Amino acid sequence: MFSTIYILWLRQIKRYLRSKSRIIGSLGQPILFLVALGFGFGPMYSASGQGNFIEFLAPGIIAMSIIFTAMYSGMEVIWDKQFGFLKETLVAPVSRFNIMLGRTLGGASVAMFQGILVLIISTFFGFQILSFSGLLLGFLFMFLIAVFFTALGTAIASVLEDMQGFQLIMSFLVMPIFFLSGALFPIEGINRTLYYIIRINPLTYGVDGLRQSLISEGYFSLGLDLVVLAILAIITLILGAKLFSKIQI
Amino acid sequence: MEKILEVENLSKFYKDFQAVKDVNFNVFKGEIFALVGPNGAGKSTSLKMIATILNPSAGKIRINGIDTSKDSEEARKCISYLPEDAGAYKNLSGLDYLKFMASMYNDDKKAQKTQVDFAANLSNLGKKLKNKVKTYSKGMTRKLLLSRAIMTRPKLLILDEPTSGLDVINAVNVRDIIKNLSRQGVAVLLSSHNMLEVEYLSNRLAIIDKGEIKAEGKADDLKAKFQSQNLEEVFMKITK
Repeated sequence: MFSTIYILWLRQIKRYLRSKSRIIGSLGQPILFLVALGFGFGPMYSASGQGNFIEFLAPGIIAMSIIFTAMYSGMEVIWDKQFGFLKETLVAPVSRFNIMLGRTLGGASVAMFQGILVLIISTFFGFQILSFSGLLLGFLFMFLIAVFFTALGTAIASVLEDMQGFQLIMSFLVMPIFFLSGALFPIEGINRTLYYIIRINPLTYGVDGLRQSLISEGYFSLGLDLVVLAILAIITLILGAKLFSKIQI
Repeated sequence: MEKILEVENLSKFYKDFQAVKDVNFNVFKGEIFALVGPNGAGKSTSLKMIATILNPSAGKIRINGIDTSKDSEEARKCISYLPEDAGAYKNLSGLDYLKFMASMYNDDKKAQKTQVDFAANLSNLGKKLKNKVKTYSKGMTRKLLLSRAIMTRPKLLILDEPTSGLDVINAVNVRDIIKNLSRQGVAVLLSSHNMLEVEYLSNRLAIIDKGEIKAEGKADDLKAKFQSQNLEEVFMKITK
């Protein structure tokens, strides 16, 4: 059982490491957000007495790089469906749950690695991690965000036939999830309708948990962030495994 | 003779369209059985259902006595499948691809190495196995994929258009590999729209058109029955 999971995990990692353009390319957007928003809105944020905007923004940008990479990794299933690789994997005498788990953990590891790269880059923009224990806790939140979104990507890719739907998912699911997660602005005092939307957004708890861990600032309690995200990650993993096991090619 | 594959009343619907209609046939140990018919006849759909990657709408498939609807994972231990549109990861070397696939079939490192060595030898790609798959020609890729399909020593080898897109030399090479396998006791189920190839390769065949098996038997028997010179003529008479 574990060997299949490990093999597919390793495959995802190797695939990522061999694609240098993907690693470098996916850093462009987070850096742009840190520069444009961090330095653009920073003075306004400080002037309103809220403190250092980079400190507030960096956890959100880290989460952004994780969800984009994770969703892409999950949705690679569509490529594999189209180019025939998946047929060969699915016809091997191993359980589809293990195949899905291996792929998801691989995709999640890649997304988490991408998040760590953005975390390191953020420090060059003035972001400061408060403690080592906070950093470890931050890694846990990064991992949970990565697992949740990779499994979500896999679940969606299991029912989609081609990559045409990918843009639709990015525009109408991933972008709203990111923008309405409190990643770019504080939740306090926000419009009531928007507040409820943010509250039901899974990423809200991931971003809040990351902030709590890395800079000891947040809106919810750390326990709530952790429980909500862990439960959602498990549910999505089960859902993804169910849909993946039903793939018909 | 030992039955390796039993297909009973196999059907597949896509909404109102029936792609496969009540298909019945068996494949025995060491036999090459061909499904032959034009594009869209239902060959690939039938093979996908037998390979357990597509659920039948109705009917039964038993591989080595195992009902695929009840224990597909166990049934998959007996088969190897080469899809028509199979591809290998382009950034992997041919050798790494074989190693990756061997590890999917076997936990034991020694057994994996034996399988990879066997496939490497069979593919006849020599030192080029260390090159990335993206540098391979279509023929080289197909030989690599076929070697991968064979290396697990399946009881039933399912090949969808095995020589599709290959030049004469590579096609002959692939046909020889398939013939040799059947001599070693492997049951081979293949699909092709190349009737001359099927006539040369298969022990028995079924002519399929619009999802239905129109005739089944040995090539010579079918030619005699329909008073035809070759299978193409048989096919034209049956489907007229």
